[in-house]
Amino acid sequence: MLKVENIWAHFGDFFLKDISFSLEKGRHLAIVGPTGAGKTSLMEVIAGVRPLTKGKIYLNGKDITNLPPHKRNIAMLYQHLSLFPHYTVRGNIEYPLRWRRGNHEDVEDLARKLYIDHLLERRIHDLSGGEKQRVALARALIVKPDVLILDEPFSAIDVVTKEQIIETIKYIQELFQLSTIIITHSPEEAYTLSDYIAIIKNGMLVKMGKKEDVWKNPEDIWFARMTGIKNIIPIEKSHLLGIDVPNDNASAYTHIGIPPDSLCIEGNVQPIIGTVKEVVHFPHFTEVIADLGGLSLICRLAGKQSPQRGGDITLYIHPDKILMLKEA
Amino acid sequence: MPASVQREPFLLYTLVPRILKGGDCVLRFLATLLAFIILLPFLGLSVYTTPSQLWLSLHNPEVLNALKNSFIAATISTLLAAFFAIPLGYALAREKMGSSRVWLAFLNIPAMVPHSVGGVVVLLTFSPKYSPLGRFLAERGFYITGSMLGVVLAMWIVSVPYFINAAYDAFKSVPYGLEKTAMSMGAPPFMAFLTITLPLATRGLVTGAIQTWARSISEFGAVVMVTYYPKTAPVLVYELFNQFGLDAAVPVAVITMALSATVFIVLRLWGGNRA
Repeated sequence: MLKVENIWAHFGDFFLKDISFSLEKGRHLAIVGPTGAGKTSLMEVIAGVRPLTKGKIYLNGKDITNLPPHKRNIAMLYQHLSLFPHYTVRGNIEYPLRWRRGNHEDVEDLARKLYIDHLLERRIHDLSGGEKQRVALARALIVKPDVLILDEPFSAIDVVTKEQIIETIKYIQELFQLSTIIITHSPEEAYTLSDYIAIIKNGMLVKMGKKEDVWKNPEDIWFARMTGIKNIIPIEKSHLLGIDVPNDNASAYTHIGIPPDSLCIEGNVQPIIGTVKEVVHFPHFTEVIADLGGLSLICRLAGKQSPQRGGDITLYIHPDKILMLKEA
Repeated sequence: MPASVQREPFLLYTLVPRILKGGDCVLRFLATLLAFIILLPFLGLSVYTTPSQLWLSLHNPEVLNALKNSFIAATISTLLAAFFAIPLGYALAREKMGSSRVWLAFLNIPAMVPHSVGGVVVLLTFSPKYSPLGRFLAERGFYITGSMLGVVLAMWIVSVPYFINAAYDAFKSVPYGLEKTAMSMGAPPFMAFLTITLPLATRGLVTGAIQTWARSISEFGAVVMVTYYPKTAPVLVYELFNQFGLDAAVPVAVITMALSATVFIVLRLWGGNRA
């Protein structure tokens, strides 16, 4: 179990402030947050690459706060993989064993498990994007880490490779029974690969919980957008939707969010009439932008429905599904 | 041709590539012309002398000694430059010493000033006549006038900026992320440098060494200011020209050129294969 207690750290002008969380063995955490929020810095502190100023880190009950990176049994895989181009695949996988003694995986066996055993003598330049990812994963796993940190593993790769890597990570999570922490910008990746989601902003951990809970109850505009909510409307304009939200100045909530499943063209609640401004057809759905007295609402219709541009559209909003949101 | 088959637009698919191909020809012609302009005087130099004159020069102890001095001093100067430039280039590339631009601007001064000025700087710094450092060295038996030490220092001062620039570029081209990854796997910082950064920077460093060596062996201005003796090949060519005219200088010039070019080409090929 990884336990992080009241971590403080600073790098130039940037601060990580009082971060605490724990992750049980074999569970998976996704860290999400805007660019520059401190996600990678926090992970580097946990991996021991960056120093902390205050706080404690425990792994399986042992205090690892002051241990060097290679004695923590935490492996970190960076966004750009950082494979060493002057070594072969085997050279890359074996590299950590030069500095770490003790229990480790067998190179051939690990390569077989990751389907790269036929690539062991190849140069890094000769590999495809997906193969490089698997080599980098093998290099991280060779030392049998208790925790594997993946820093944006899907940035700058094509969709097909991304799907392959997602499958590989799921396979690794199951096969090696290790805890993983995945830093990502993508809500889908966070949801697919984790049990828990933590949100980091301005160097602070603002929310952490089971992925379903965090997902369904976004508290601020930024995370609501991350979860795919496109209709975010200032409270003072909510009367245009026929929704009565008290505009209390003392309240921290400034906007309402309308999740896609709470907005439809059939229902038994009070209907609202708008004008169709734009219709965009996607392979499996149609997106309609409706105008309601100067307020734009984006509505997803299943299948190939095609309302006329400029025509009227009747929408139903389920008030019990509306979310109250704070400023980002 | 069936009527239904559409013809490709002549301008786009035929004419433009032909013009571009023509452009390639012009480029090749200009490059060849430039290569001739550079190489022709050197080739002409070889025609200007005879094999018997070359043979005589090759058996002249003074010529052989000057060549030996040049090669030894240039090699020591290059090794000395590597000793300073590799750590300095690394520190500058990783911004460990503040603004690398400012540092590089200052460190390139010896390459920018006339080389005779470089010689003056060496004299003022290391001669017992002008500086306490020179007196300190002289008391311990190290003189720059009339010694190989002077030749090496004169060569070093004008050539070391080439190595520093090459080392800076070479280390800058190696992403710091690779080193950081190696350290996160337990490699001590120096071992991360030795196993990751240095091998990846080899090509640039070898190029820097070749440039430095070439600059050193061809140095005349700074060397002649610091010490006339022991004579190096450029100094001997100058002396023969002054005393006996062009006919006497050419054979030594050809031998120096041929030997330097051979070493240069071998090092280039070796450097190319290394990386």
